[in-house]
Amino acid sequence: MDAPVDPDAMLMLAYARGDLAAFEALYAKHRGVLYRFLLRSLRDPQRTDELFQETWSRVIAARARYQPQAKFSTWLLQIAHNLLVDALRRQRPTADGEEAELALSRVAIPEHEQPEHAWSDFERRRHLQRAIEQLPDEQRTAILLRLEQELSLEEIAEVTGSGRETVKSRLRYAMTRLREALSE
Amino acid sequence: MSTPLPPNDPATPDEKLPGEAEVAALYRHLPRREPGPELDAAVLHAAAHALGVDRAPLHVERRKNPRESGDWVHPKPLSAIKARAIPSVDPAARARRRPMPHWLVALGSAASLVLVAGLAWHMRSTSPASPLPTETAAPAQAVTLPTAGQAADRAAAAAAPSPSTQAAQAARRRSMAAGKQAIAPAVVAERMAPPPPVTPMAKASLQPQMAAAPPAPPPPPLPAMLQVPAPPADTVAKEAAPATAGVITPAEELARIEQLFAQGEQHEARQRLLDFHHAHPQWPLPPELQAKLPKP
Repeated sequence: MDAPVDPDAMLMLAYARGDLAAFEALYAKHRGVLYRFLLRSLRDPQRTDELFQETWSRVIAARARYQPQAKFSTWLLQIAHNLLVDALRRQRPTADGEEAELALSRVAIPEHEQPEHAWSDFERRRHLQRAIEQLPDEQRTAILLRLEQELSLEEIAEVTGSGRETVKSRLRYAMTRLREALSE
Repeated sequence: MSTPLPPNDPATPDEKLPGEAEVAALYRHLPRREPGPELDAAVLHAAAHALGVDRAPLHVERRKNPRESGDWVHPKPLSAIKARAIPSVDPAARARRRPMPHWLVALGSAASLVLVAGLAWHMRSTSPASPLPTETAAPAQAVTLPTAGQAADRAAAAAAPSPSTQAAQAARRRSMAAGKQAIAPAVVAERMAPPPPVTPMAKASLQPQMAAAPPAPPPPPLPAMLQVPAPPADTVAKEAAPATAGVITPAEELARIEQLFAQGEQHEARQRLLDFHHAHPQWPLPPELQAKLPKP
């Protein structure tokens, strides 16, 4: 029985053959997810832009030697994660809680979610945001890949280059901290 | 294609962690940031550039400044911009420029030639006269006056029997030129003083000059003043002032005439006396000279 074909991998192969529209479709599908993953990991919009562009540049450069042995999203996040690890190693002090809160406040919030209407949800999101930011890098990456990308343990392990049980352990620790933050 | 494709197996979900559903639901309500249009354009441009596609240059949308109205700026692509060509640098306009007519070039060249020819003619006419030939210059020098035009005319008339009319004409031209440039004192002195007779010294000085022009016969006797070789016309004016120092007064002229009579030069003495009387009719003559004058 043949395994189902990843449509993103087909788009990538089409782009490698010179189909620019295939790349545009691929980019439109993954741009938001990749950007948020980087932004929540780095908490720095400027550096997020740099890594976002660098990730896609590497995808473009590797189009000729692309081998669809895994899902395209996994391969894309793997590239982003490697860049992210390098960036975190030489990272300057990240934005503190006040700056993160300020960045969060810049985002437009629907009127029905304004504090006077849904103050508890707003507070809960703030706590969740802070709790994610305060996680160790490995736990934060694992929980972001799980919550944002909805990746499986195996996929997270493939992206991060870790074992499945390691990923599972990181996820457990991270989830416990997040629940504690939300219950405060 | 022989490339193995990856499995797409969503049928094996992991078991959910405790409290994961609540956290995931809350996470989905977090602000969902996305890359800006500039970032999108940069990535898409890089993708197109990698394929060698001549994609249109970036015209990046940007968020407007606080003072600008609206939220986003949507610049027009370059293809939608129709800039007016600058006439001075537009090759088409330069090619359409009317060429200069050929007749105008020819007319300008002809006018330049006429101008150059006129200038050359003017310069030639105002330049010093070319020197006369040697065989004609020598007699001319012998018969022309140094300063006075009338004496030159008289010399030219005296040279009338000369077979060389060229010499006479040359002498007349040179004497006229000299007369125009002579100063007034020299003319006055010449008019007051009658032509002296040719002295032996003057004859002696005249002989070499005559020898220099063998075809020309010796001129008739001339006053001593006329026998002085004519200087060049341009030097006449310079030498006019010293020439006045050698002017013979009427008394001296009368003394010479008396001396000529005493020496037996009756013809020359009578001629000079006649000239003196014509020049100075009011001058009182001694009785012996008065008797020598021809009776009216």
